[in-house]
Amino acid sequence: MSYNLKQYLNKNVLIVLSEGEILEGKLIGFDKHLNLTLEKFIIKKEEEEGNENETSDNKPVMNIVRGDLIVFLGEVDTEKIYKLNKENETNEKYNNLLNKINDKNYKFYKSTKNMANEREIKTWMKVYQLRQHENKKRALDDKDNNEYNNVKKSKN
Amino acid sequence: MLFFSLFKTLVDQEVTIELKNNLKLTGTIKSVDQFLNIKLDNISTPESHLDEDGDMIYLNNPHFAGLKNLFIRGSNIRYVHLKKSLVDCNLLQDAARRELAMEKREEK
Amino acid sequence: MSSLASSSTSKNNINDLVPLDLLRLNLDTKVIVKLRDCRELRGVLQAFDSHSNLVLSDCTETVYKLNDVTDELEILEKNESEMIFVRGDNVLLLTT
Repeated sequence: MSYNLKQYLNKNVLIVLSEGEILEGKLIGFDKHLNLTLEKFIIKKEEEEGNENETSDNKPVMNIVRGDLIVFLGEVDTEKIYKLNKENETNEKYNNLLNKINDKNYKFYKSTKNMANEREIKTWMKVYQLRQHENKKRALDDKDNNEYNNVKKSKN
Repeated sequence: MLFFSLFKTLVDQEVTIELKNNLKLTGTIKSVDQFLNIKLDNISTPESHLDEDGDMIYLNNPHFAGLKNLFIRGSNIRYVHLKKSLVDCNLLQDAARRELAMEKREEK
Repeated sequence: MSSLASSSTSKNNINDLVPLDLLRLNLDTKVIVKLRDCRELRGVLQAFDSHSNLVLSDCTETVYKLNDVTDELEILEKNESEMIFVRGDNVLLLTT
């Protein structure tokens, strides 16, 4: 029944949630519903001062993430990120990306929720109308062809 | 259980997974469980490429840069693109028939 | 109802057929699957299960979209895939 998440325990993980939020923190526990407990996590989407949970007084902060919100999680190679950050400090492209990460309104990931919306229903309606139109046209063409054939036959 | 078995035969093979948030990920399946949660290694996205040092550069998803592997929750998967050569179609069809027959028998 | 049952000549009694039998009878034939998010798949049905997870081969995906401004129908992309697994919670309907 349990999820095979042992390899991520006590490691820094990055988690993407169903509404596009990105979390990062140390995984300290999980259960059979994939609920996770994280230590010292940072919400990347809203990196305001109040939301940054990295405390300076070394007190561990524990947080729980509900399992059904999780899209994926991955282990973060902290050294590599550090290296990349240092290397790319002068790189313009990378800086643009960094700006995007820090822009709390920018979303890298769309929502994964299966919400029915009016637009989807409208689209299917148009598809249906298109198909009906095509079928009618085909029927008319067939009729024309038949009449043509009949005329041909009567001539013969 | 049919698709669980199918994915178990695909461990260590390369697949492309399309998520419901339109993210496309290519990687090798490391493990799979009964909910079809999938662990992927060597992740790449359609926009990613290797730079001269051999580091993967992810243009649209910079968060992936430091990720070693990925655990994907099965419920967020839309498609998994497979290679035809890795799947035996006849076997798959028979397995689907057998599974349906088994479920019907259990209901009775 | 009884006449239907007695007239069934195949080895499947019509009363025993469940909706999933339609999928079984369509194995190895070309099917059209409509999915959430205005997507449509055409391909050969290779496998299914009770969650309507599917495997299709030689499959083309069509995405329909409404133009944001004019509200006209756009047929967005046609993606080909030689073998595709579709998760059942996306499936709206399946037809031949």
